Amino acid sequence: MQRVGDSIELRLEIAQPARTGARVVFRLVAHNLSSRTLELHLAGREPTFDVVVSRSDGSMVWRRLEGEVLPAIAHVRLLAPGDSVATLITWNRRDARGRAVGPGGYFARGFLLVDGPPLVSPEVPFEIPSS
Amino acid sequence: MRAGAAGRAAVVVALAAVAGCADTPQPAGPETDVLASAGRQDQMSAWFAQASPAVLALAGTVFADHDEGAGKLVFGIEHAAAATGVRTALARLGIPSSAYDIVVTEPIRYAATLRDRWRPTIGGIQIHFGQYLCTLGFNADDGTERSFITNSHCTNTQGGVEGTEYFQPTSTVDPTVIAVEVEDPNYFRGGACPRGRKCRYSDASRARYSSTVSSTRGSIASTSGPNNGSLEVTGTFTITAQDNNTTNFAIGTTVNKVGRTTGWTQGAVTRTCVNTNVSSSNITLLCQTFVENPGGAVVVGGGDSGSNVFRITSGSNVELVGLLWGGNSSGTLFVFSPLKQVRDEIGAFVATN
Repeated sequence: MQRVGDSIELRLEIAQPARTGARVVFRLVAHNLSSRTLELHLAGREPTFDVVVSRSDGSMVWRRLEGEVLPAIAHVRLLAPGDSVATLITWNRRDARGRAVGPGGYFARGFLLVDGPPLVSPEVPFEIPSS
Repeated sequence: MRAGAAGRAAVVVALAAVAGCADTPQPAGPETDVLASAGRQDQMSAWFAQASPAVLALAGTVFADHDEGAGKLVFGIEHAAAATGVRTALARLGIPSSAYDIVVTEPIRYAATLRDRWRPTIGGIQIHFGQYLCTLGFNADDGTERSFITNSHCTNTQGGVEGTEYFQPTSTVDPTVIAVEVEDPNYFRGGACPRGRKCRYSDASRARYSSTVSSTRGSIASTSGPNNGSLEVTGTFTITAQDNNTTNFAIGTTVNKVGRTTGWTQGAVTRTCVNTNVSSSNITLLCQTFVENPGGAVVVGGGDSGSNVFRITSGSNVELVGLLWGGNSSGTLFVFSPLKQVRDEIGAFVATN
């Protein structure tokens, strides 16, 4: 078995909202790129993903796990070559204070919490349409 | 051992040179010294072969060496009191005191981490059950039952006893079941508990040790320093006291924890008696304590569940104050159940040394 390093890729996919009021759906996929089985030590009893939405100036709009208290357990998960761990996260387009987020360009980044620094996806731009 | 074989090879070459010059008047000086030296080395080697096992079998000994360069045997001991036993053993073997030196030296230890196998077990080390990793918080005696305390969510089912079996550090490294879950109170509804949720005042469970597994009560592994990320165990904290009374800790109180993921971390109490919803569950833990490091250091990570929480009273003496169970997603805040609430729910126990 190989420890996680550069062998795992975290990808964030965004289903662009069709209309201004629609929720935003994020899909996070952690994929084993290597030819060996990886032993992941994931934070939580189940894989725990986070998403951060930011404006173009870098200011944070919303964080899925903001204010959450997570049990500090680690889950041992074996990921076979080519296998993935994935989840869907739905955002109701409200910021941390519950205010509706207006139309415009935003950026999202995904995280998979492990028993060390989290795995981080590349930043992905998306649009919230004006109508 | 230093180059003994090379030393002998040199002696053999020297002897061959002398034999080849048998008709030559044997010169005095160097060749005679070589012969004498060769004899001494052989005597030393013979003595070393006998002395090494005899000396290293004695308590307080660290190493045995045949220093060919100095032409002496050298024995390392942890403390001066061990010297008498070493001298007695060597005298029995007929080894004169001029043939050896005894030196006091640091003991040699394996560089073991919180994630390695420890026997006897101590607080802060890794435990494994099912597909999960947690931390052994601390050893405790519940009446006559030798036990350890960890989190309720570090059992197969959070709330209720189902006989979770624990391994240390993992079942792969050692398949011995070190302990079995024997206490994990059920969560309650109503009363102080928010509607639709279930509650407890501590995220604690107790596991009873197998009779063949050794444990040390009152010891918590320590690493080189707080908040430095090191997992290498360099010593132990001693639990000399346990706080069975405090629910509301003073804001700013410095507390520590030792866990298998982030090691020894330290922070200050920022909130007390907080009713806390556990993420992705319908569980609320009532009257919990929040801790953060003022500098924003990471103080908790996945796998630290069950960690001991303590105050340092002096040197390596500590007072046990609670049991860690969770933290925020960035790891800069950890949450613990006060020890009083742990004992209120799983019963009185003794965790001091």
